Amino acid sequence: MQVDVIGVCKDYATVRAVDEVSLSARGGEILALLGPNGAGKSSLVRMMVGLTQPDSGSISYQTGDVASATLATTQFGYLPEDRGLYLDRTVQDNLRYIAKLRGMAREDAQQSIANWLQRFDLSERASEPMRQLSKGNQQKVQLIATLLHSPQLVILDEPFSGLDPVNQEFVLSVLEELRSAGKTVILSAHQMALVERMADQLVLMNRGRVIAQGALAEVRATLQPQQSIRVQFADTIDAAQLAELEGEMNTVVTHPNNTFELTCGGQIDLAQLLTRLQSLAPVVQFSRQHYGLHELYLQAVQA
Amino acid sequence: MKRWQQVAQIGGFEFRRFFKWKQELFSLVLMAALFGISAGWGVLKSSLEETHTVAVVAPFELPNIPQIQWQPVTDLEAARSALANETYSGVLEISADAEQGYGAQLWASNRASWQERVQQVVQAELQQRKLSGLPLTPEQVQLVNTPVAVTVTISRDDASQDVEASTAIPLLILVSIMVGVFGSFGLMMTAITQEKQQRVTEQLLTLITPSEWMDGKILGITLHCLKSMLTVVIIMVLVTVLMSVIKGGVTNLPPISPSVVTISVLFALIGLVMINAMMAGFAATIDDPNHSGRTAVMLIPALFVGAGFGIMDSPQGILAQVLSWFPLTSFAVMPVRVADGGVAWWEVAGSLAVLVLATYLIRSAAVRVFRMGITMYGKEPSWRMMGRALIGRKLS
Repeated sequence: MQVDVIGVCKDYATVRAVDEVSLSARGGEILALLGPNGAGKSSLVRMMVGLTQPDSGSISYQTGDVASATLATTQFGYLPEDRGLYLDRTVQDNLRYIAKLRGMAREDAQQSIANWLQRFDLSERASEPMRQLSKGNQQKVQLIATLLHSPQLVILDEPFSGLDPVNQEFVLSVLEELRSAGKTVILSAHQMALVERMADQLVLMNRGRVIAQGALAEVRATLQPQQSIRVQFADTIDAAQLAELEGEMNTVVTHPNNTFELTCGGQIDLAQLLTRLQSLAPVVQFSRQHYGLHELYLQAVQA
Repeated sequence: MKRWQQVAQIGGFEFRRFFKWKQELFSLVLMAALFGISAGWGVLKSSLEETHTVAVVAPFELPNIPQIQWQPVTDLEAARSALANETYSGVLEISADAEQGYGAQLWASNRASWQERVQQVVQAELQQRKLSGLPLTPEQVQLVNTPVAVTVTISRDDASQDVEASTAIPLLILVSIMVGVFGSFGLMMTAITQEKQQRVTEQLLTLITPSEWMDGKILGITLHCLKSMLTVVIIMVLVTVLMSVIKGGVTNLPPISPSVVTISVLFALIGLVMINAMMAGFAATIDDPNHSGRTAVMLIPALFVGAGFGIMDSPQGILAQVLSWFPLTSFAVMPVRVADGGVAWWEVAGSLAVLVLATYLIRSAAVRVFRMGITMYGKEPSWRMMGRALIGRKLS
């Protein structure tokens, strides 16, 4: 299933929660919406699952050649940010109820529930009330409720929150399986390091707007258009000598121990640059600075 | 899945959620015990009451009465002194002299209910003595002692001639409706407000529409309340029969007309749906029942049932007639009037039609408020916002 979001805006009272957001997610792909609290991720997700309507713009869903502006309940699974199930009912009762509301046949539902509970190591706790489960296990049950009808589109709002590292990895593996099975996965998260590892497409949002989107390399290129190179000389040299170098040195930052950080715009031939630097003084260290998505995002937001 | 199927699924889930066999059996036993105790309270009380010894200084013997033992004494002061060490519960001095007058004085350490019975017996006895002191023939004395009978005959053919029977059925109906309304209050708070607190809402709202969800809840909770009402009626009837058998071996249940039962059930059912719709819409606007000032507002429907109790002494009066047409009170008042008899069929049909229409309108309005309130976390919608939702305007 392909999801196309085109120029969507959503206002709440005095706040524009989503501002001209466009994106496209395809089958066999994981699209991650990233951003801090209040970035507009959940508002966008709520519009995608039909809980709220966009004030302007459009959202459409295409399965094969058939395009639609709405989703059938059997087509998608949604894990909301504000999650909860009936704490006084058992795990099985909760899952059966959700399956019934999705229109699943009794046998199919029973089979699917049993399979998922086994996968999530919860089979033995199926007849326990939800309130007796740990928060992490409750979250696993929520995830099962999202997936038990094998939807084409899976939308997960903060799927990693409240999970320990082991369970985060487990959820990651489930998401990778969904991708392999050709499902469309859209998720929102804060945990950039986790998402960086498996998302095919990233959409970074801040204050309702998209500040970068695309594959990881494209997002990096958007957020870090300049290359940062760290160089340490064996002898003392003057920063002015570096500034006089021909080329695209935009900034020169001086650090202790004859170390400098050079910022270069666009593409630069690193071998050629090293040769030129060595003509000034012997170079002890020469390295390209790599920032994680987290740092790049922080820089972009703070800028 | 069709809408009615979704509503039925939700209704079934809500009913099962609150129907627990163990609790049901426990509450049945508890209810039977409570009704039994209240019905047999007088017997229980008298059987448990201790016998009081009363020292008597009197010129004649007093008749025996239960739990009172008369102890004739001659020394009044000694008897009064003995009150302190609880030899006697009371000391009674009676003077019955045609010239010096008739009177009695009772001394006791504490105020207690037996004293009233002693007063009544002494009063009656002195009255007889006064009469016998007068120059009257025995026939005249008997005439004076015979109370004047005033009988009430109701001319309407369909009205009950038995006062107890005419109030027992409406009372039973009203008590059961009150049980239903209070049950609705508790269950709606759990089913909606608590559910909202547990954040169950978003997941479900992607599967069902707010109106399906609300209708399902109304269905499940109304069924549960009907079950509670039926249980109360059965227990009350069974206890009444049992107590009658214990007391005298005869069951004196008032006659129950099938048409009264049918009309009462119909009005109660539709009234409960209406009340539940109001409560569902309102409960969705409550964020935290422990801190919300709106929780008390949900008890307002109990006042509507209170109107039924208010007109029981005059079920065919002007006020009762008006309230039996007003939809917020008709579900409680009309069954009382019908049980009393003499209500024209067109009145019942008209009142029912108004009730159905009002229920439809209230349910439609409640869905709008429910839709707005159910996804609003951390704050409650203002009255203005609720008003705007009611008239279908966008919230700002």
